[in-house]
Amino acid sequence: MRPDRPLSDAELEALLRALPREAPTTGFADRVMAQVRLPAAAVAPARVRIPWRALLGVLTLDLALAAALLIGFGDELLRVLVGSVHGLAKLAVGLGSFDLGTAWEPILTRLLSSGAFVPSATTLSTLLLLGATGALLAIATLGRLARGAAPSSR
Amino acid sequence: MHADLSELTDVDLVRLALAGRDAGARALLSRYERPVFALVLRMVGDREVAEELAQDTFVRALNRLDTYRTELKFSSWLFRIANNAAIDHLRRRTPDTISLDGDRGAASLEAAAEGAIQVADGGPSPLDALEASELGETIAAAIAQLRPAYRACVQLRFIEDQSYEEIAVALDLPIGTVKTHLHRAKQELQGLLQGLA
Repeated sequence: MRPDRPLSDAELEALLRALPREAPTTGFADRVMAQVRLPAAAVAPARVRIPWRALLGVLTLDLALAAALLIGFGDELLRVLVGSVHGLAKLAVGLGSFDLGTAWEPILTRLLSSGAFVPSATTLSTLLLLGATGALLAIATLGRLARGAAPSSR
Repeated sequence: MHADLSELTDVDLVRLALAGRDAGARALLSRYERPVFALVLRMVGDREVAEELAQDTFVRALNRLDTYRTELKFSSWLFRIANNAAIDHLRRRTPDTISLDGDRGAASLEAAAEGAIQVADGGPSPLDALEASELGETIAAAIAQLRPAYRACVQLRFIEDQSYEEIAVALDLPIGTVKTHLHRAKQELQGLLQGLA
């Protein structure tokens, strides 16, 4: 080899290609990711799944409450219901002469006088038990759900 | 999971990241952290600064992924951001565009001369000798003497194996200019590394 001979293109390129590949220090990616905020609009909102036990609990509680209300205030509720239907029917038909209430009145009276809405002690305690079970189930599962949905670091 | 992601294209990874998946962004980082860092390091010549600039490049790119157009190669888009960051840094550092790496270059040139003589006298082929860190530093020092645009061209062409077209996009230059830069860069390097043949 002659000391003064310039490098040929091929020699130079070979030297350049053989240069060491420089890399950043360890943890580079983590440091970048700590500053990156990916497009928020594209991030799918987290789906909240309600456990079936909670749904069952809420449903039981609702049914027990509805039954208790019906038993405790059955007469008044029934009258309000019939009155509302009557009023709505009159509004919808728009004819004062059509009186739906008169048709319902005998049925309603018969139902109330038969004592169908008077609760027994067994019925009341069963409803109470059902309601309490439903409430406990709902509170326990929804509580667990709330703990699980607490924000976590990404 | 990593094996699957490594098979995805850059565009697929971008879509993943845009869908809010960190894994997509991390895979892009893992794919390009070395080339981007190496380009910036070649431009600024300081590891610490290069790491900061490379970090800024990725943060900027990943935070603005929605502006990336898929007709461009992702690597070219990323290299362009990195190159701009490096150029901005060099402009802020000194208004002198001739000796941007003045001190580092001067010190390295002496080492380059010594290294060149040792290699020529010792007889090993340049590729064998390149394993010795002195020779690598000699060549790096020679590249550091080039203009920033030449350095970027050399790095992208010979070390990152980018095509002329990709370099043109990355550096926002016409292809003819890229070819001219590379030609002149090689001429200057051949002059600086003359003793190595």
